[in-house]
Amino acid sequence: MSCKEIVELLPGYIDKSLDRDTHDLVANHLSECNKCNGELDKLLSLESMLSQVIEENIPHHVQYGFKTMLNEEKRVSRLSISNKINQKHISLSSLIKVAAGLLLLITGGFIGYIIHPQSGSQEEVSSLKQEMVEMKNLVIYSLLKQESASERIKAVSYIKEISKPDPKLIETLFNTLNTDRNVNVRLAAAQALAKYKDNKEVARGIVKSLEIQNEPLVQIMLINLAVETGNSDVAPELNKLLDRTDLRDEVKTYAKKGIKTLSI
Amino acid sequence: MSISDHSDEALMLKAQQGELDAIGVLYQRYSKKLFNFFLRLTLDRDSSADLIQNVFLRVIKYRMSYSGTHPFRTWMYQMARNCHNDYLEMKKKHPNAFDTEKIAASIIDDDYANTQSAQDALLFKALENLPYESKELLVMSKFQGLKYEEIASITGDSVANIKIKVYRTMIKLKELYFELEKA
Repeated sequence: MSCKEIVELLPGYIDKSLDRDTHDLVANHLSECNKCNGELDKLLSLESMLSQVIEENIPHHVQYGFKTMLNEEKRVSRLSISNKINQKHISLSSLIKVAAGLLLLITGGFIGYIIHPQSGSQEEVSSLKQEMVEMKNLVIYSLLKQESASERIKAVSYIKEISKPDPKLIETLFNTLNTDRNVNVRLAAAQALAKYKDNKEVARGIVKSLEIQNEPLVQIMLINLAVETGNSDVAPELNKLLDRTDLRDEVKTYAKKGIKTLSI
Repeated sequence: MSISDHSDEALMLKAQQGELDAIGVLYQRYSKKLFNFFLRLTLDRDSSADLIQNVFLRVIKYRMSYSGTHPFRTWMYQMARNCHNDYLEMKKKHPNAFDTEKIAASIIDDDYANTQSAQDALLFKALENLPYESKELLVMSKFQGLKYEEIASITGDSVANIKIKVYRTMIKLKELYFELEKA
């Protein structure tokens, strides 16, 4: 081996990362070559300089910033848990109210029917129901306009509670998913839509939304949802995603996994 | 066993189960290392401080996507590299927002000349003359103490390739350093 080739191996000789035969070869050469020993000394002093460089301490405000960030995340996750509890509470109490109201109406209707069999109690019940739905929708729309992200998340979770939301509410969820400025709100909207992924229109909307999302967290969630729908146009859409240069590797991994799942 | 005795991977599992303080322990463990990783690459303290925040924001937000099949360190450095790439892109788009030449000069000349030896100042000047990829490799292997296998896993390159690249970079750095010393 020439001196030039030996010198190229010296860094590996120093950090002991050469295989045994090569290591011995370099050692033998060094025992006879002054020039290469000179190069070895230079590299050894460079290694020692590199290992002696002192690490700088982090400025204090950075630690403070991290704590704030972590506390905010704790708050958000607590909020989502307490929201769930509240929702259960609300839904239970409102269910009781609705049930009591309906019972009264039915009883009233029944009595009414006995007294005046021709009156339209059915219509009354349905118009009352309609009014309630409209009231709830009004609350949702006004919450969605709030500045605070947690209020908007609340609105999204109200929609999630409705067993058969009308198309307008589904459209609202998509609008939120595609345009809300806060990632957490967009994630909540995606979660809410997960419930309706078996609906063809919803499935199509999820795939379409993938095209415009740029936040990795939302992208991953939508990829998983889209794959779960098992829709035939999901795989080509995921392939298109893989061509995007701005896509994070983590997201690409999910997309690839998805394509694999769909092909089985 | 207190929480700070847990392995990185066990801490991530705790964080996934809702115990977010586990990420605080990981922060204590790695923030200084990461700060110096970014400092060597950017030569800018403020940006380096921002970049550790970005990495840990991602650790917090993506905690559920950490699969546990790779060591936490590898996953964290992958995110650190992504954050640094985003930073470079932003710098390209808004060049006026970063007066790096001035900052670099202040870090290399004033600070290191004052607090560390003239020898270190030369070493950092030599490092700056390396191509970016080589400099990043040396920062990972020599300053961050990452093994060749870990660097390979972080960058997606083969171990054999990483070894050869690091060897060549060391030879190059040696030439640059001793040239500067002569001058």
